[in-house]
Amino acid sequence: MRVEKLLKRLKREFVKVNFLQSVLDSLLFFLALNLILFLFSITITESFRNEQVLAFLSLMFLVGDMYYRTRRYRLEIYEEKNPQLEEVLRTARDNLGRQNIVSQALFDDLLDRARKVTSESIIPNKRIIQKILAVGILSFLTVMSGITSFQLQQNSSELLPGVDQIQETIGGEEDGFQLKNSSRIYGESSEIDTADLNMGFNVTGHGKRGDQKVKPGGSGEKLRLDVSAQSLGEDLQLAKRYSIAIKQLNS
Amino acid sequence: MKIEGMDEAGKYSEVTSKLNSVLDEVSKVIVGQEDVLEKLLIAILCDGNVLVESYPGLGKTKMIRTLSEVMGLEFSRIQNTPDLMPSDITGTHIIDESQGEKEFIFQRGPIFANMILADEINRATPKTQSALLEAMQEKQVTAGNKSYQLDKPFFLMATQNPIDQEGTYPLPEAQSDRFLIKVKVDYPAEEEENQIVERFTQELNYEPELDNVLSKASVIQLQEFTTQVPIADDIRRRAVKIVKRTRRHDDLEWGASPRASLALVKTGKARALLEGRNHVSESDIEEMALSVLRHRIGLNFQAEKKGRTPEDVVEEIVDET
Repeated sequence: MRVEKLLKRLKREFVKVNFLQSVLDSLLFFLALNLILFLFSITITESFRNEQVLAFLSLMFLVGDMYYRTRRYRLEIYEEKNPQLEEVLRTARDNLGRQNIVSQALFDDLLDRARKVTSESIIPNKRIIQKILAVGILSFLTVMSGITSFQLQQNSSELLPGVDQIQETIGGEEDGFQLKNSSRIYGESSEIDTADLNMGFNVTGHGKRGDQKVKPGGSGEKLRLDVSAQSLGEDLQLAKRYSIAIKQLNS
Repeated sequence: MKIEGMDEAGKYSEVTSKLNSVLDEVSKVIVGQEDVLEKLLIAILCDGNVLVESYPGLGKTKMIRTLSEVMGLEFSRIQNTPDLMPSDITGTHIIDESQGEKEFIFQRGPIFANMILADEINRATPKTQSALLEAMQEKQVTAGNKSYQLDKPFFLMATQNPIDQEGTYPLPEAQSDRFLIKVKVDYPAEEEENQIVERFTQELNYEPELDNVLSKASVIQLQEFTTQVPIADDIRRRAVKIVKRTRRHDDLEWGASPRASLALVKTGKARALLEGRNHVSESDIEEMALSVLRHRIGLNFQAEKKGRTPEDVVEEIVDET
């Protein structure tokens, strides 16, 4: 049991070290791509912001990298870095179920030798420092390019324009048999933002004197209609009725 | 050998120190030959038999007699000659008249001991050689219609002269395979030979007092201990791979049997115990490969023509595996 605990501890240490490396790799991935996209004015897709897409990709990278690293786990990694554990560690692992005196002596010996073994022994210090430096440099460049608005290409281009086109195509197919419904094209009336919006209608009449249907003195009068968000529906209906009435009057 | 009342690591180190005491005691008589002594002890720990190839006069009898004395085991010597009969080894039925009535009783032969030196085994006829086969493998002998169990522990060390000498019958492959290891005893170095001469010419019978370090029971216990030495899976796989490669090597007519794989791992365990290690190391397998494999493989004509030896081939295989 004690040896099993030790083996689990060693695996946990390995996962910890590799998680740190994966996080750094993902960060590098994010920062490098973000900088490149900014410098070349590239938009991945209009549908989402670049940062959102990159964050998602970096997360996927982190998960994949972590999976790959965890799959590479071998006890021999500890043996290579800790010569005092050479052959002892894997022999103990392969003989965990044995209860005899010699195996117990091996387990005691292993626990004694492994007491000083920590994750530090398997941390590739040099590589981690290099990655941290790279993260620092990329962060600095990102900030500087943002401040100075330095871009190698000014005209923005979209990396995945197809995404919008696909959406349009899908919408177009639906509209093919729903074109009669104008609200599909212009949107619903309720979607109109009319806050602080004044709508003006100029209504000019044309009639002859003596025409009973026409009330004289109406020429040159201006009809004013104010529309606000609260009464939008009613106002639109009213405007519509007026328009129709004027049209009929003219004809 | 009391090992109660200690923790496991303590018990284990006690075993190792006992084994080293055996070697220290034997060295009071035998000068040098540490490697041969170590291999003999390994074979005893593995409950196996040893084939020793050497020229006469190199102290083989002295060595095994001393070893048996230190280990508290009964020693017996069989001098093989062309006229030696199997019954001279196993024993025979004789008429016993001591009780007043005549009856057949089994008189045990020299094979009934714990440590046997079968000297110059290749001088015996194949029929007599094969009589040793049952004893070596089954730890029993058959006389008439009855089988007799040999005492435990049983250890046989057979010596043979190089087969190019006249009047020898080379051991059949089946019998060679039954020897756990084959050890070659070389002439001692000049300094060692000087010590031997000095030691054995100052007294008429040089017989220093030797401590009895072990007993029959403790030797059996040590043999059980040896089997318990843990080995990593990859090291065991490598041992098997080494043996397997002997079966398809270009220079070999025939390779080693699976018995060689067993022997390689067992001897590796014994060596680890002797070295005070609580697990089998790669070095144990590499070190024992030559002794385990050299007598189990046969060179083909082309290899012999090129002047290669079994030792060359085994070393090559170990390096490449």
